[in-house]
Order: sequence, then C-alpha cells, then structure tokens
Amino acid sequence: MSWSRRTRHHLSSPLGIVTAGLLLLLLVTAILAPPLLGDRADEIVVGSLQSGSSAEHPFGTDALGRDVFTRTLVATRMSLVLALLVVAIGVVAGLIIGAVPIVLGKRAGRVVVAGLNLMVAFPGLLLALFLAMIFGVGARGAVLSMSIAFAPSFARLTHTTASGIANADYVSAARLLGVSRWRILTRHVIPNISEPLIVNMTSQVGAALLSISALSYLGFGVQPPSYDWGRMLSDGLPAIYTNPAAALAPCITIVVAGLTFVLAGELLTQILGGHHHGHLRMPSRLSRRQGPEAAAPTRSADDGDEVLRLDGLTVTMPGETTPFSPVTDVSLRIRPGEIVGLVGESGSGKSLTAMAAARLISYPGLAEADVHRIKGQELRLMRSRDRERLLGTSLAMVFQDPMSSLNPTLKVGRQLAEVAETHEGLGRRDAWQRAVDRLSAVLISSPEVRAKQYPMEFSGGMRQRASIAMGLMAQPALIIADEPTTALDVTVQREVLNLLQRISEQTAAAVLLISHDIAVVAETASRVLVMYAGRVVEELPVSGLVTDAAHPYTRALVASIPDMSTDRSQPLASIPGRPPHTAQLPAGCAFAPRCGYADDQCLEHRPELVDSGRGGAVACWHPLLPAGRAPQGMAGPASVPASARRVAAEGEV
Amino acid sequence: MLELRNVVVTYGYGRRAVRAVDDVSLAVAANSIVGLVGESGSGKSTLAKAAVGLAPLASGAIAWKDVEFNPATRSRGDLISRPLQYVFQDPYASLNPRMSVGASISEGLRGPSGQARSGRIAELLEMVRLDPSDVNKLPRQLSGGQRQRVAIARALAADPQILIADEITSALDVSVQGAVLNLLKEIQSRTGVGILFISHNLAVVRYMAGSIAVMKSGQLVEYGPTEAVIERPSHPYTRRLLEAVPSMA
Ligand SMILES: Nc1ncnc2c1ncn2[C@@H]1O[C@H](COP(=O)(O)OP(=O)(O)O)[C@@H](O)[C@H]1O
Ligand code: SF4
Ligand SMILES: [Mg+2]
Repeated sequence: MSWSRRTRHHLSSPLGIVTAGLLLLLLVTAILAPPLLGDRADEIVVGSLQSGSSAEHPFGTDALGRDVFTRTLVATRMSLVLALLVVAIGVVAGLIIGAVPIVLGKRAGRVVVAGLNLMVAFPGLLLALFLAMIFGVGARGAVLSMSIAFAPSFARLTHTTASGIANADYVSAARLLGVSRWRILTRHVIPNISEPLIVNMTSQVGAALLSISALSYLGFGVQPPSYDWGRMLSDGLPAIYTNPAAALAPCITIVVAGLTFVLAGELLTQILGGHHHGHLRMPSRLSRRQGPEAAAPTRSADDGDEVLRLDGLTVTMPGETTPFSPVTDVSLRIRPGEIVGLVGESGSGKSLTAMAAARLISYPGLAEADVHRIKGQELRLMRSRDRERLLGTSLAMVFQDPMSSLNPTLKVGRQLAEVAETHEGLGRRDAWQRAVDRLSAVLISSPEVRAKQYPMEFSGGMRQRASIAMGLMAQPALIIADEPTTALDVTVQREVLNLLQRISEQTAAAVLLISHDIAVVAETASRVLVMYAGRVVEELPVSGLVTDAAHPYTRALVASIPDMSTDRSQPLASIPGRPPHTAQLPAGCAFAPRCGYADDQCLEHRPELVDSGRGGAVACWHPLLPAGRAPQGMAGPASVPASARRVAAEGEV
Repeated sequence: MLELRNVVVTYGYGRRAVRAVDDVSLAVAANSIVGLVGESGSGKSTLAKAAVGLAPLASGAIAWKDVEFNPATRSRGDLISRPLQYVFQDPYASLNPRMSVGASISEGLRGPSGQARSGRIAELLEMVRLDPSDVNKLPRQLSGGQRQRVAIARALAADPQILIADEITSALDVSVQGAVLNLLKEIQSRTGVGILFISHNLAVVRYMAGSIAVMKSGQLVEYGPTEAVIERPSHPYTRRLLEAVPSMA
C-alpha cells in the first residue's frame, strides 16, 4: 500500500479519528485562545473570589476572581510551546550525543555509552530540579533543565537504534566496499533510524508536558503574571476543598493533552510501520465457488477410518483492497499411521492449510470447508467446548521454531506435564512421570535430568524433540508438522524425521508433514501433495515422485534439488520466474508463466484436479508421461521436462 | 591468494569464553572455489567474517598475497579490503531497505562517474541477469532471488579477487537456488575470482567446489579435493554428513 493510502487508511480508523480530532483541538486552542480570550482571562470579576462552578464560570474563579476555564484555554499555548521546546532541544542534543559513539568508533564509544547509561539511570525530574536551581526559576530555566534531563534518554535511544543498524548486514557490506564512516552514517544509519525516533519523539511530547507542568507546579517554572497549566494547578490546589473545579480544569487538560501525544505516537507507528489494525475489508461469503466447478474429490467419498478429512478448504484473507484466497479448494485425507507430505515453494499456502486443519486461522482470516472431520467427527457441527477438547486431545502441532511451543521460563518436564494435567486431569506425579516417559520416547538421553532443565539448556535438535514430546503427551491421533526440520542441521534433521516415522509406526498417529524441501518429504512420507499458488496441483505416491510425476511443476521441483549424483559439468536446474501472489492470479493455469509446455488453453482455462491414473490426481492440461516411456502421440511435451532443465537465463528469479 | 593462518576467534570473556574458531588454517586462491561445510554453529561464518574483519581475531593472522594484516584495524578504503568481498546469507537483511538497486550497487564502484557509472551499473545488472530497468527499484519490490543477485552485483562492483559466499541460497526456495548457483559459477569462470563457498548442504558444496573443508565445533576436521572428500571421507563426522544428505531416490 502506498504511503498516502496507508495514511488515509489509518486516519479513518477510530484511533486515527480520535487522535486527529484531539490534536486539531489542541492546535486551534493554542493558536486562537490567547488573542481571542487573553483579555477575558485576566479580567477580575469583583465579588466572586474563588467561587465554585456556576453557569457563568463552569470551573469557578481563582483567588483573584478570574475565570478558570478561560485561563485554562489560554494557557494551552504556553504549556504546549514549552513542552515542544523541551523535546526539540532534547532531541537535537540527544542525536548529537547518540551519534558520537558511532562516529568515534568502538573504544571512545564505550565511554560515551557508559556515561549515558549513568545519566539515564539518574531520575530525570530530580536532575531537572537540580538544574533549575542552577539556572534560576522561570520558563527559560525550566525548559533548559528539562531538555538536559531528557537528552540522555534520547541519546541512548538514538544510540541503541543506530547501533542495531550499524550491525546490519548492509552496513557490513558497505564497510567492506570501503564506504566512509560519514557516508554510512548519512546514507544507511540516519534514514533507517528516523522512523523510530520520530515516533518516540511524538510520545515524549506528552511526557515533557507533564514534567514542565510539574516544574511550574513546584514553582520553578513559569512565573506570574505568565501562567501555564502547572502554574494554574498550584494556584488552584490550596482551595481544593472549597473549589475543586479550579484545580480540576488544568488537571484534565494536562492528562488529555499528554494522552493525545501518546496516541499520536501510536498512530505514527502504525502509519510508518504499515501495520493493519481495526477495520479491514471482510471477505463476502457469497462470492465464492459459483458455477459447476465444485470441489472435485480426488477419491471416492467413502469415509473409511481417516483421522483427518478436509474437503474444499478455502482460506480467505483481507487484502490491501479486496479479500483474496491464499488457499483454495484444498482437499486432504490422512489415515492412521500414514505420513502425508505437503510441498511447494514458500507462499504456496502450506502453512495456512496446516493452520486451518487445526482450526488456528483467526480473525481477520476466514477458513471454510465443506467437510472438516477429525477421527470421523465433523468439527463444524460440534459445540465449541467439545471441539476444543477433541482438538486438544487428538491433535499435536510441531513448528519450525520449537520455541513457539516451549515456554523459556518453565522447566521442560513441567510444561510437558501441564499438558496432561489440563487435558486429562492427571495428578502432578503421574503427569511428571509421563513427561519423563515421553522425553525418553523422543530419544532424549537421561530424561529425568533433562526434564528438570529449561529449554535454553537444550540444543536446537533437542528442543524440537521436546516439542514433539509435548505433542505426544496426549496420545495424538494426528500430528501436523510444519517445516519441523528446516531450522535444523542435516544430521539432526535425519534424526527428527526418523523419530516422526517411528512414532507414526508405533502409535498409528497420522502425520501431515509440511516442507519446502521435496527431498525431506520424499524420504519420510508415503504420499505427497504438491501445492502451487494456493491449490493442490498434484497428489501422488512418493514412490512415483521421480519417475511418475505428471505435473510439470512437480517434475521441476524434483529436478531442482541437487544431490550427491548431480552432474557437475551441467548447469543446475531451476524454475524461472516466481510464483504469482494469490491476490493476482492469472486467468488460466497459475503455473503457465513459468511452464515450458504452456499453450493457449493453459493461459485461458484453469485445469481441474482430476485422476491421474497413477494412483493420484493432477491439475494440468498436458500431464507428462512417466519418465522413460515414449510420448504417446501428444504433440508438445516430451517426457523429459525441458522446463525443469531450463536455466533461469531468460527469466527473473 | 587469501590465507587464513591459525585463526582463533573467541566470544565472551574469562571462563565463559567460547572458541568459535579454533586454530583453523585455510587458503583460497584465485580461479578456484573452496567449499566450507559444517553444521550451524560450527564456526563457518565466524571464520569467514574474521577474514574480512567482521569478527575479531584472538590469534592467528590473515594474509593477502603473502602480506599479513589485521583486517579489523585496516582503515577505510584500504587497498586490502576491497579485493575481499562478502555476500551474506539473508538477502532481506543485506540490502538497505531505503536504497534503490542502483544506489546499492553504486556503493561498490570507485572512479567512474556520471554516464560511465550508470553504464557500469547496467553492465553489472546484466552480469547477474537482472533487467537494467530494475535499477530504480527498492529491495521490497524484488523477490529473494533477485535481491541476492543485487547483493552479488554490489560485491562484484568492487572488482574483488576473492568472494566469500556465505550460505547465499539458504534463505531462498530450492526452485531458484539453481539459478543463483549457476550464476555464481559462471561469474567465477568468467572473472577468475576465487570463491570461499560456505553451505550446510553437502550436495550443493559438492556441485560448486573443487575442494572441500569440513568444520565441526570450531575446528577443521577434513580438507581435500572434492572427489576425495566425498568418496573417501577420513573423518567420521564427514561420513555422518554424507549419510544425512536427503535424496530423492
Ligand atoms: N495472516 C495473513 N494475512 C494475510 N495474508 C497471509 C497471512 N498469512 C499468510 N498469508 C499469505 O498467504 C499466502 C500463503 O502463505 P503460507 O501458508 O504461509 O505459505 P507457505 O507455508 O506455503 O509458505 C502467502 O501469500 C502469504 O503472504
Ligand atoms: S496446465 Fe499447461 S501451463 Fe499449467 S502446468 Fe500444465 S502444461 Fe503447464
Ligand atoms: Mg510455511
């Protein structure tokens, strides 16, 4: 989304409207109140000293009989100007100090940083009070001392943000290219730190407002006859019992103005960061799947004993302008003890399919399916409590990052035990016993000792095994493993895959194994589904992957994996171009722009998933013949996929 | 020729100090590709970074054309630094998100200005098979594979004599890995640059490199010509690595 579109989008959200309205109100008051109401604010109403609120004086009058409400409005300008000055001076000083360590290099930098930390640790208001005594009372002294008190925290923020970027790979690259320090600072560091700094600066205006008011309240800041909100507060407070309204008015404005700037900071974060919050265009349920092309189940509809059955799964996400479907019409069945692989390039919809199978797609996403059964029970017809229980006891998820299921602050055994305690009501002792048992089941040596350790004391492979063990606590019928070995080393990957295989054999658990690496699936699964741009384009037994694959994409994926017998004198195979985004799918076959066999039919009509006659299904107008067999009269594609051999010379990658 | 001589890199201090690289010697000559494999955390990247001054040497030395130097303290624009270039693993982190393709590549160029400069940038883009009209695009408008090509072009802009390629296809889909590797191989044979090719994938290293070094826990456990290492591995760890390579067959 473009910057201006995003700005408009966020400004029309509830947060945006409220914040913009408040900011406008503050601005208008600050500009207009002093010239319009200045005289009235100094007007002394005779005979009505410190009166309470009345129709004429909604917040009463002060000790000299002046209208508190009018004075509060007029004081807006003084209060805001002082706060803005404090932040402006503080930021400039902070930027300069914060940049020093980066320009000076490591050793001198360390000294500056140590000094900064010391300054930040010292309470800001105390420092300001101390300085105010040196500078003398009055607005100027207050602003100066407050800015000095603010500068260190800005300097530190500048420094931490900047040094994060100074360690970025692109800065390292620039250093190796011999780019000068000054250029690195101006071209790489400053442009990339300005966003967080601006956001922080905005919220700091609120804090500055509060601090300046505090100084004035204590008598160090603005001196009569000038006044700001802090000053008014200190004037109103002595009479708090007789006329609370006089102290209340400046109080309210300080809080409201402070909050306004905090909200403005939040809003800026969203606009600059491009996050989506609040109102999104929701998909309409009516628009999907019209016409005769209803889900084409690849197998006969007999129900058998499948652990998981999904028919016609479609996941819809709110797009930037219109909703789109990153997963469309996916059907999936897994029997007990079976390992089914799901492969495809990143972004093809594998993870969303897995999440939908576990009912983990949440608003604003939407997952719909014609059939969604686990152990024969239709989830869509169950009461949510029963459904939670069924999912909790029969489904285990394993993710690429095991820490997404492990709590770093709890001992491994404890968190495993908790699963059995909550889902099966096991006692603490029994649950712990089972945790130790499951840890040994995933081949973690000395499980009693390991159970008492924290996840961080485990290696990457051990953590992944522990997260699998956690899934095993409830004897799951279905394990969904999304890229379980992608972050692991090959030797550890092998162990984890063997473990999944063993579990599936011994406990008859069904496994959905997701990987972008078709070789991982080929070694572990018995059946594989290939996804492309949100749809299943081929389903086949793993034994046929290398020779029988009918879809050009499957062949190309297989061919692009180098192995230990790849011919080193030939260029490696790869697939030219890249997958389309599912929000902008071409009319015909989604693979057509990258396919060496594409013809007009492919470009115009999308092929349905139909029986391939090789124990699977394929969605392609020109399915390839099994390797090694002569092409049968069909003009065009030969059985050796030229597209797979083609080097990406002509296309972008 | 780039030589790493008895390189030791430690992280942390005192009793908690860890030897990330433990007395490793390795040489990369022009016109060759040396492969470096090992599991994550075995010290491959640390070793490579030490060679270009991005990691501190605890002891040992880096020698360029037989002259020893300390890469961490070399001054900017030094004659020694530009001949050694580094391509990072994650093309999403190695390009400044606010700099156009052209501006990034331009950082590597010395000398030519104006027309000649844009001409050279276009040449480099063509060399890495990117469309010269991509020159004004920002990284976020490019795919992972395209970004990695920009990173390679940027490194080539400095006319390096040694290129360190650190897991350059690990963040990419396998479907585009081949294209990036083909490109690197082609550039190598065209320019004669020497390459230190780092990967955790033995099949990929076997395809790319003429000789292979194997690291484990900071130490070099095996080194030799590719055929020898693959067919007659001498270290048990190399054998385990070989067995773990997944295969389609
Ligand atoms: N929460 C989300 N909101 C919007 N789009 C999403 C969301 N999650 C994933 N997508 C999009 O859906 C598509 C498929 O994503 P994913 O299932 O993660 O693919 P894979 O696991 O195959 O890499 C991608 O285009 C991705 O950008
Ligand atoms: S339908 Fe046509 S474009 Fe699509 S994969 Fe088959 S041959 Fe290629
Ligand atoms: Mg995924």
